[in-house]
Amino acid sequence: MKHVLRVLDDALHLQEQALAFDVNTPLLGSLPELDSMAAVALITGLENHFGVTFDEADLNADTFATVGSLCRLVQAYVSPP
Amino acid sequence: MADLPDAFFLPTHSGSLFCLYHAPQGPVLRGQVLHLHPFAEELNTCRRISAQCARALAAAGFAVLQFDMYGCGDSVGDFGDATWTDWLNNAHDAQEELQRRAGEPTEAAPLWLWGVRSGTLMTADMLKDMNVPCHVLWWQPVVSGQQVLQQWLRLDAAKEWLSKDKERIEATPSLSEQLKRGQDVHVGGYRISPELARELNTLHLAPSRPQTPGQGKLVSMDISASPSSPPPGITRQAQIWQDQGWQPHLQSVTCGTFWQQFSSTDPSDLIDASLACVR
Repeated sequence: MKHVLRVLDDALHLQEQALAFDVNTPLLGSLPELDSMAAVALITGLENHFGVTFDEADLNADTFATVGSLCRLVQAYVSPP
Repeated sequence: MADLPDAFFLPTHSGSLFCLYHAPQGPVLRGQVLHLHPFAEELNTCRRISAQCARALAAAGFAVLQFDMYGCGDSVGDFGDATWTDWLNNAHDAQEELQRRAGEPTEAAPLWLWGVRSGTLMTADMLKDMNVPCHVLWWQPVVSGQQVLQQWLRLDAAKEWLSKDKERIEATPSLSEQLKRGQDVHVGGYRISPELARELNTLHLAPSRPQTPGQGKLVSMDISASPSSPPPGITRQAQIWQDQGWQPHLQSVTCGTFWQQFSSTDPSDLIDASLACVR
């Protein structure tokens, strides 16, 4: 989760605020910085950071709901079942 | 005060390419550096900091060539007509021009290919046809061409990710579908051709041929606004290069993520760290 928060902080230019977020922190609808440009920076940042490529079908409003939902997306690609 | 760079147009098969040559300062030539820019909007967002680093490298005794590829920046052509093959040829033409001005690279004054963001993919692709030894410097590398393409196409898709209106999403054919059908697409002010998309999908940040062990250095700068360690994606990539005989050095530097948007980020740490690694 530390890695996800760091990428989130960089992508949304949150000046280290994101480093204090927890799994339940709401993102979409609660974080004004999360617009479509920031969402691209966030997803691209996660892909670069973890060396994975997300399937477009996995990217929707639910993915961006909370820190936890974002971590679950990454987890599914980093260590597939 | 440092001399101004020499601005000129380099004639190539693609047409005239805009170049900036930063002549090495001081009595000792320490090496030569070919800058490989990122594509589309990131060329613009990275330009100021790349130029600043190019000047710092020249002041430290390096000959540096920056150039705009076909359809990019101030060079001839339209981005929508460009192919990766054009850009790769441009990069080799520019490397020859750099060598013409700075001389044959030597062990004491080696050639560095300096790729920024998607330009790092160009460093990897150039190596397959390089006939002179070289080292590689990456700034915030991108691991595949597919990622670059997706990043562009997602500028259009992202507004739909954040929307809950699923019916509307399914009614519009996606841009990647349009590319597959052989149609150009327009994203964020850039026209992307199906040919460029096809080529990008084949590119990986992998070494295209083995290196004689101990001969080639690979320096990768990971840039983050807060202190951190190199990311797992690049660490895995570096291992692949190491297995092919390269000497990787991964370094994290604290600097604003300047490629994402125009900013007044101070890149001093990034430039100092890059200089320390290529010296």
